[in-house]
Amino acid sequence: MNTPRAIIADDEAPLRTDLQRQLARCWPELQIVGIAENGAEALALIEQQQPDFAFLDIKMPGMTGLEVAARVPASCRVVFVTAFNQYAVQAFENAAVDYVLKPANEARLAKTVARLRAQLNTATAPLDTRALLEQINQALAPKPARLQWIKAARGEEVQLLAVDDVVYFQSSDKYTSVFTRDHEWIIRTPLKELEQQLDPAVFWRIHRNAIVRVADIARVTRDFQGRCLLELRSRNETLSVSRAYAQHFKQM
Amino acid sequence: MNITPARAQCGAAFWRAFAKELLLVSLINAVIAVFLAVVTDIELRTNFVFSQAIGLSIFLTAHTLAWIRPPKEGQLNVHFFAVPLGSVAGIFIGSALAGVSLIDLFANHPQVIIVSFAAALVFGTIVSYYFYARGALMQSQAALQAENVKRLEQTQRLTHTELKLLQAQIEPHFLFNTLSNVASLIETDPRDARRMLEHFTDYLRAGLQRTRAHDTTLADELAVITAYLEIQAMRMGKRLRYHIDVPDDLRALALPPLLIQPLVENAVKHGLEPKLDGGTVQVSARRAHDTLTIDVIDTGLGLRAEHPTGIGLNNIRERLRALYGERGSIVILDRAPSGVEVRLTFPIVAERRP
Repeated sequence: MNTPRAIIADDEAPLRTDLQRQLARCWPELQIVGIAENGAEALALIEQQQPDFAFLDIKMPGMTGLEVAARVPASCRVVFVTAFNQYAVQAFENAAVDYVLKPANEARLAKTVARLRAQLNTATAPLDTRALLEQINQALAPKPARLQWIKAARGEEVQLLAVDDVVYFQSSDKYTSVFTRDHEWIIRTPLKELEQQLDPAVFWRIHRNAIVRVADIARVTRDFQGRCLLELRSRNETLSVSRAYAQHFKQM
Repeated sequence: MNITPARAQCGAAFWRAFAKELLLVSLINAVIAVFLAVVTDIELRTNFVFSQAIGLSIFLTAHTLAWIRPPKEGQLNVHFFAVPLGSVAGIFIGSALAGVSLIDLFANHPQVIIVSFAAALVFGTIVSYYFYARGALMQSQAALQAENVKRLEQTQRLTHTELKLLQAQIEPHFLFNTLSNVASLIETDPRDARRMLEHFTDYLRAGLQRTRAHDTTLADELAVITAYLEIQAMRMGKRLRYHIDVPDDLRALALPPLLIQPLVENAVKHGLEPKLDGGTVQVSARRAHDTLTIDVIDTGLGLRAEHPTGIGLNNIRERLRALYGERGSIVILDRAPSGVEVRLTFPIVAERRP
């Protein structure tokens, strides 16, 4: 049997050396054939060295450990290295993926090593890495929260706009206009997508092309055709409510 | 009269208020009739008919005018038109009801009509003013109450954000990462391990001190930031550079805690750490009259459509608003060629000397 070979990828120097030393203690036969400082380097190393194991830090600049893992050939087993994060640990447990906690704890590392060794001796069927990664990615992805800030442009200026300052959104052909008390901004997110991320108690859809902050409605009037018109507190425009959304204003 | 736009009130409540006012107006009319019967030689019955006709005409005219063109808060103009218009209408209606011919009266005793009109104007104005003042009082009381509720809500929100702030103070990720690094360094480079622990102690000490004091100084805040940046610079090596550019005379300024630190942490975490070749973070402060402007600028990845903002930015924004209202602001700009600039502006409240 050949000596097992591995690479280590971590963007923090002290942690790289630490893992290397700990592995040398727990698994003396394991040969570290390369060390990478970021995802791209790790991938190049794996292609070049064809190691049996790749110890990949999750959070690396440029390309994360998860992204690297998605491109690693089946002959190389990935072991994720992660700092304390209860979600990550839970995700790895669920996906039955090997992982090492940072900083490497000798007792725990020994357990992982024992498992990896066992796998080395048996010809394991290649795992469906893509499905596993998807599972992990999902667990690690931040929950889709309520939209609080929007990246918006006005002329040359690009700002992060607080949703709390928005009076209404109006869609045009190619983009969406965002109106604050004093300015008009442009964003690329379509209304349909925005609607899902806004608090329905704070913003109401009033038209195929408009979403308005309820608290900013000053007065509801009707025109001669019986259509609802909204006057706003912080802007002078009058917005019209299409029939499909008029039920919001029925009782008024 | 307490004239509020009819459309703004819902049906039942509006009519109840209307009926109540109508009753009050009739009562006042009756009192005026008695008064006039005593001071003039016109009999009570005629006086009663005329004063009711005039009073109710003014009342209805005012409401009709208000219905056609809703007045803005506290405006008198409805009464300005309603009193003369209602008075003329009331004299006509009154004469018809009392069976008096106005033409005869005008031909024989024009002074009676002039006196009646004058009396109608005088009493109409007095009563209208009474109703107007009553309405204005009710409105200002409502406004006062709304103001009180608003202030209470604001205090509550401030307490809430402060609580969240305490929870968010030391991010577990940073804590564990630092400890990992120290643990790793102990064997390879004990001197660096010690240096990192010292910075971390500074960071914790300044942080804890801050939670006890309500306000901190700019110098305190900068001490925590420096400790934080030193630790991160040890981790990231040459990928992180930083400058702190704050004039000495500003360092003693008092300011709310944790306004700047989260911005610096964001710049490192979201801007520089994920960037392959890292970059620079710069903290600067300047004063213009009684306003302090603090800039946190990084040369990192810049704003993204799905920019990770955490609770930090919202917390800062809410606290600035609660503390300074319109005078406090946070502006987050994308910078060319890359990076983010966050600008905090707020009034200087007090200077604290150590």
